[in-house]
Amino acid sequence: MNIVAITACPTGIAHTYMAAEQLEKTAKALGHKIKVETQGAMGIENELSDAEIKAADVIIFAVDIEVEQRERFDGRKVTQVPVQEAIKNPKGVIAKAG
Amino acid sequence: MACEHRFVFPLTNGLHARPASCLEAVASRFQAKALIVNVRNQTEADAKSVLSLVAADIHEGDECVLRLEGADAEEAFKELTRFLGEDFLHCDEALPEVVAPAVDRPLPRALRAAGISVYQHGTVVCRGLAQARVVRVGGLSLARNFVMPVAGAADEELKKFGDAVAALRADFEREIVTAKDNRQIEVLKAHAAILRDVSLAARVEALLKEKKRTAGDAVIAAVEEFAVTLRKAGSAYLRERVLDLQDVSGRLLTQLYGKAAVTLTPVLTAPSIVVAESLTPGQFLALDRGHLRGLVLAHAGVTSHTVILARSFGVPTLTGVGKIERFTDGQEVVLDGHRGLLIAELESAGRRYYAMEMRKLERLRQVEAIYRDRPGASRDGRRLPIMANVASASEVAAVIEAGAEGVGLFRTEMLYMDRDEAPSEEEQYAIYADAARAAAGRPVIIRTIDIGGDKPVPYLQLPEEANPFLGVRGVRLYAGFSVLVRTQLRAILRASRHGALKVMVPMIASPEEMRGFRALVDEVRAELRAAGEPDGAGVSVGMMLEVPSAVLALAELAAVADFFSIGTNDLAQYFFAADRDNPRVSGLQAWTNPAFLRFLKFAIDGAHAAGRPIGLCGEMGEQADAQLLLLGIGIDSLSMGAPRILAAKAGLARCSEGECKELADASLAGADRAAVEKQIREFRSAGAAMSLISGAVISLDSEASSKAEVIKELTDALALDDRTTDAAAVEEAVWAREETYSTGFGYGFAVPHCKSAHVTANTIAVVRMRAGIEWGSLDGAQVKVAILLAIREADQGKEHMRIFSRLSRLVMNDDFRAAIEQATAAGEVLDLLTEKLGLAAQPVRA
Repeated sequence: MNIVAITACPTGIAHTYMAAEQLEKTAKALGHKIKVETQGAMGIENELSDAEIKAADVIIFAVDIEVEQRERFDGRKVTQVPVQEAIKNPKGVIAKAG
Repeated sequence: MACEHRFVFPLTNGLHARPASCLEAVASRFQAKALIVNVRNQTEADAKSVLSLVAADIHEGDECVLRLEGADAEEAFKELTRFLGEDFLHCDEALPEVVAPAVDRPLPRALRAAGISVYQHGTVVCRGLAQARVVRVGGLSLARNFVMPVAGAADEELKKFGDAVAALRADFEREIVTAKDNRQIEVLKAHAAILRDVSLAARVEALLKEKKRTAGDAVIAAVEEFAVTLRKAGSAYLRERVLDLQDVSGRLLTQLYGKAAVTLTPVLTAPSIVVAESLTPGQFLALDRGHLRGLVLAHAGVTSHTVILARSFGVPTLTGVGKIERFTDGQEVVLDGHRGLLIAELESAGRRYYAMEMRKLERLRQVEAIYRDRPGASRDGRRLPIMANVASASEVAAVIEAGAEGVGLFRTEMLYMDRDEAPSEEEQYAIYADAARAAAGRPVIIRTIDIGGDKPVPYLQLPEEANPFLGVRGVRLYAGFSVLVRTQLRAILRASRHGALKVMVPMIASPEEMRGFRALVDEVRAELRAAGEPDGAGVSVGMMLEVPSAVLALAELAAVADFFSIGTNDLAQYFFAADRDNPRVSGLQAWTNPAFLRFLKFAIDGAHAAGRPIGLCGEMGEQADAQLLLLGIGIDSLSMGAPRILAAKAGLARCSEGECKELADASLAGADRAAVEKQIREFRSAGAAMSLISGAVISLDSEASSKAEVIKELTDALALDDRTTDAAAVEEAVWAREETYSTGFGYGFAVPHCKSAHVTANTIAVVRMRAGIEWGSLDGAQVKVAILLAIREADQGKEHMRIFSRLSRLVMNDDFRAAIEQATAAGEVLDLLTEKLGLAAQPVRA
């Protein structure tokens, strides 16, 4: 499965990156391909291109705040969960999205 | 003849002394017996006795019955019912607000978490932390060394009592006529009513007849009986009346046995926090400072003289504290002079919290202690001597010990206050000589008498002025009191052989005044020489710069003044036309106003152009940010309350002169206060380059037993490693973040974090606890390791943010967490973080 995800938390200091790490680690362990864009205190990093979004089977937003450049995902099915959910139960989040 | 009138009590504050005395005055005009019955508590009060009325504890809305009986009852009924329906409604108009105590502010989250419930906010005027028992001032106590005379026969003592009452009544009448302030008049009237009170007089009489005792003992016993009743009453208003009663009995005792009999200041016998409505400078000085741990005042301006004194002695002090009656004599309280709180009834969690706070402050003191013997200077060696303000010779040795490089301001007013005549030349000589010797060669600048305005001295008989701060004070007074001033100058000049004394004159507004003062000094010198005394030829003569006109006449003044010292308290109030003691306008005189900074710069440049040194001795110099700005605009020395000295030296040593100049230039160019304050914030947050982590912010053996304690331990570590200017504010920011959702992400780890203007160096701090802590974690498990990420507010650099994000990813790694859990020394964790975060490979710069 080809996953793209965005993580973003209110301060953009810790949970954004913790969630990204969890999703990446878990997806890889499950044999999925994944790219996670972080929207944190350093702005957008590891940005998802339109091509990557188009190629994705599954889109996950693990966010507590508005996603920036949301229009990139217009017309696509997005599974949105709180950041904490992705930290606590990344497997469940991926299963839910898939 | 008897009549009854039922009514519902109309006044919001209940029947306290003021309305009671109005009611009593009307009832007393008639022969008829007048009773008020409080139906709620079935208490009967004599309407001709204020004490009795007050003790009935009548609240707004209570159902009451007025019962009249006697010859003129009908007439009395008519008048009293009219009175109750009309005038009575206006006899307790709201008092003008003195200082609006900020009662609605919520408690800081950290303290809420520590479980604190009984507290009041106040304005911090001297920082510090104290824990001790409350001593309420305002009560009555006989002077320690007073011996009551032997009691005479009952009628002799009765006569003495009657005479004392008559004399005091005459005093009250006189005072009511001359008092100008309505509030003061009302209080005097209420006191006069207590004095007239039939219950009090009857009780004293009965006590005197009961057994042989003095009139004084009878007064004390009667007052105590009433006080017991009043204290039992539910309302705070009644409890406050005890103070009124004691004031009156204090004055009665003074009538009976003279001033020496009564002391208004309690004798402190153990560590104490003094709580008072207000306190005179004399009362403050009379307190035993060996036992005085803190001071809490309901009413006092930030720059009132009691407050200035408290600050110079480093006594943690709060003002504008509301509801002080909540704090009773003997109760153990904490005075938190950082957050501005007075707290009672601390539970164990709160106690532990403040025990941690005490330990932190003690360690901070040790850190700062290295600056005690170092001269004040910037990092790159620009000297800025830091001196102390004092008000008595006995402080000098202590301030030198506290790191002062001399005394920049010795206020001599206190020598003249609270006494019946001016101190003699010999008395002053001894004081100034003591000060000079205690300073051991360091300069001591003695300011000549600065009386007038707010510092009334009865024996000088200064006329009342409509506007004392713009009236005859400081040097303006000298023409009328030349003997007084000459005496002081003789004492200073003679004492100068014991050390490096200097003379400084206050309130100079024009070159003429300074020339006049200089001439006076020269005359006194000539006198001394003629008498074969040392004339203090080496004593330099300077002046305070506190009147704006003087700043614009510096060149002329420099011809007759050897040095200048800016008194920012008065200069600001004259510059901004805003009364420093009026809380409604005092906010106008902020030193961060660029207009004021430009004015200071103008003064400093002017003094330097004339080749004269210029220092500063106002409150402004105590502020850490102001110190850097002042160095930047060229000030030559600072003088401040001794408790601020080490922090000032430490703060200066962290900055370079160039940085301060840049800050000053940017601030002088600022459009308004906000612009200056922004400059300062940016300067602070671009502060010293420090590595993200050090051994000092890693603790592997914490005894913390709650989330509140862990967060406190982490933020305290920041303070101790000089990574924050305000640990409590960082603590608050961490709690604010915790409230969105817990940072306990599972696996027994938490990553509390915050971005705050009070963080001066980006930091990763680690605490590992002995026992698990409830943190509201995602997986419900207790937390054993907390890693704090503290980030500067204005941080623009991404380098540190990248490291924080790397750390956030790292904590999701099982091996990394295991390594921290199993580490046996802080050094291992430091090495681990340094390696994993790539800190060593790429040195971190701010």
